Amino acid sequence: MKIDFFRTGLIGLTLIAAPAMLHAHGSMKPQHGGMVQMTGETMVELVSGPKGVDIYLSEEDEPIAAAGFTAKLTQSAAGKKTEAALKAAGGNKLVAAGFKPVKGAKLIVMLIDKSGAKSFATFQAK
Amino acid sequence: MAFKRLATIAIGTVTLAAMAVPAGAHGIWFAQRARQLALIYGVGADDLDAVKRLPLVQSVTGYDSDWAPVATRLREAGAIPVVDSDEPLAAVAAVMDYGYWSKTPDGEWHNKGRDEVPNATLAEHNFKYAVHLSQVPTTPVPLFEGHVLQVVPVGADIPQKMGEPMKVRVYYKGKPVAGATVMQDYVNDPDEAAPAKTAADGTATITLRNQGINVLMAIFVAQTDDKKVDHEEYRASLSFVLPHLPE
Repeated sequence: MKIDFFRTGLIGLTLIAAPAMLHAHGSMKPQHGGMVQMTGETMVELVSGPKGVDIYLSEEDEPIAAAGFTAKLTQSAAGKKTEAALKAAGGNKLVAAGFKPVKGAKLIVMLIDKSGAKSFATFQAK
Repeated sequence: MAFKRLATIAIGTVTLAAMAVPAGAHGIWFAQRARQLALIYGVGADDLDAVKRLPLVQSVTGYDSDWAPVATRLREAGAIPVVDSDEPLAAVAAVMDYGYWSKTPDGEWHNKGRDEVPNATLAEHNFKYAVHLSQVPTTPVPLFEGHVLQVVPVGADIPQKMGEPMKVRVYYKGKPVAGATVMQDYVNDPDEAAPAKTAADGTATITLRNQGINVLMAIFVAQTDDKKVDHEEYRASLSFVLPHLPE
């Protein structure tokens, strides 16, 4: 699990994220060839492709409906921030169409569920 | 039998209520509630109504791992106020002015100064502060604006194992202060018998009690020119989580 964790390129081992991650009751292996990270009990997989960035959400190996979230992708690179809305695209998938991550940039996925609870997953673009 | 049990519970409840600690004994800190970071008002296991006290919160500030400010606020989420930020936070801080409190000879506390309670046996102005570290700092924790009392780790390192010693420094008005009390576990040992006291350089060493959340609480009573009170009492928490082993 630790190896998978470091493969994600996660920035900074957080005191809070660590126990949450260790609580994960499910596979931490990417299901779509992307990078994964836990936020709370939710596994977030980020896949960067020619059409943009796709996000997949799951909990304990079960997909969770992306339509239940308002989401945003923020990129920080060279002191500059760019944002894109992540839109539900059926099932557990959110998309930021046309978004091109800059290599080495910090990518933050912000999720807000229907109760208003907000969570973040941070990645480093490859 | 059932009535006797109910009566016992009722009497116990009344007794506990009568033993309620004075306002000055309460503090604020941050802790996780249902995956969110919440502002807690209380002492020990008393997790009191923080939502109704939100008007007393003067500031909530968040910081990233470089200590750059991140837009942060508190959001009412039912019975608890939770931290709402625009980005992930490495640290969050809050300031609360709890106002004037005067104690009358009958033991009651009143949310007024001595000017309105002339027979008060004690009158004080309570200030409460909270700092929570969401990740191990890579550089020393800075002093935050508005935090008249603040407790910070000495250096950037926080030991990661329960039972290990941890050295902290307490600042009052931006300077290390001697004689401040540092409680090492405000949640699980609120009546700590012999809490640490800061030395001349403002430092004290505590023992990390929990492989989970640790809430340290610094307490300092300061003299004041404010004629409405006898003194000012400051309480400043520093909270952080030590991770547990993998399941």
